[in-house]
Amino acid sequence: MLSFEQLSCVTHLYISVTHSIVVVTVETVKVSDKYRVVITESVRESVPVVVGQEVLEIPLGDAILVIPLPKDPDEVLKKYLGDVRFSRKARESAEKLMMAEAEKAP
Amino acid sequence: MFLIETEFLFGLIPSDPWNEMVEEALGSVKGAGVDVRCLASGILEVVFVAKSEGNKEPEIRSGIAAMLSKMRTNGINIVESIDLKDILGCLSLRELYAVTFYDALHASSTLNRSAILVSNDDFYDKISGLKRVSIQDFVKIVGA
Repeated sequence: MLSFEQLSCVTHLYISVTHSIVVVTVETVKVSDKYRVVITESVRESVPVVVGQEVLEIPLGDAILVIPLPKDPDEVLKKYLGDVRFSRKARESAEKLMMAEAEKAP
Repeated sequence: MFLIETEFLFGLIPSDPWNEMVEEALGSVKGAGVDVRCLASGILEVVFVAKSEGNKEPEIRSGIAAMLSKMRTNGINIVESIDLKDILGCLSLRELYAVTFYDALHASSTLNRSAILVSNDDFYDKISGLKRVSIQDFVKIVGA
């Protein structure tokens, strides 16, 4: 396994995904005054964010997860959860799945 | 304090049968100065309901971000975390009543905070001491 320092020395990682090659650029930015961090252009190309948009920031172990809140939440909800119907039966199915996942845990 | 759970969260989806009512409720909260919070146990249930319907986790995460965005825009800014009292209370309610894990977890979280649960599900009424209002009545209370 590569350490973070070794990873930082590598400008491009070539990751084989099924039959294609994806190029991932590793970029670093510095935390500036008031703990500001720039979201670089290459990251914005993958995850579009605009100035003024709200983001969720979540501590995740020794990392920080940043999730942009969508500008059109209805569109996102229709796209990703539009087919899900909540009911008492759905609640029971969710509980069964949760318990099954708990049983699978090591 | 009012607490919203899974039914309300799914009601944020435009195609959901409760959507019109939930949108009305959201609109009434905005600027009303009422303390309305979201139960983290409701968000947990959204994850497992969506997973049981075959949704992938990145899609669910995006959906939850969209739900949070809609709530924040309308003044619901706080998500009440699940704590030890909620979990122990949940297990105790499961011993006392024939309720699902999520019924018990939402109910326990509401009882522990001396709050009022916003839900159209009268299944909760079997739990002694739990205060519940329907979404319709919630709109009337907040709008008054």
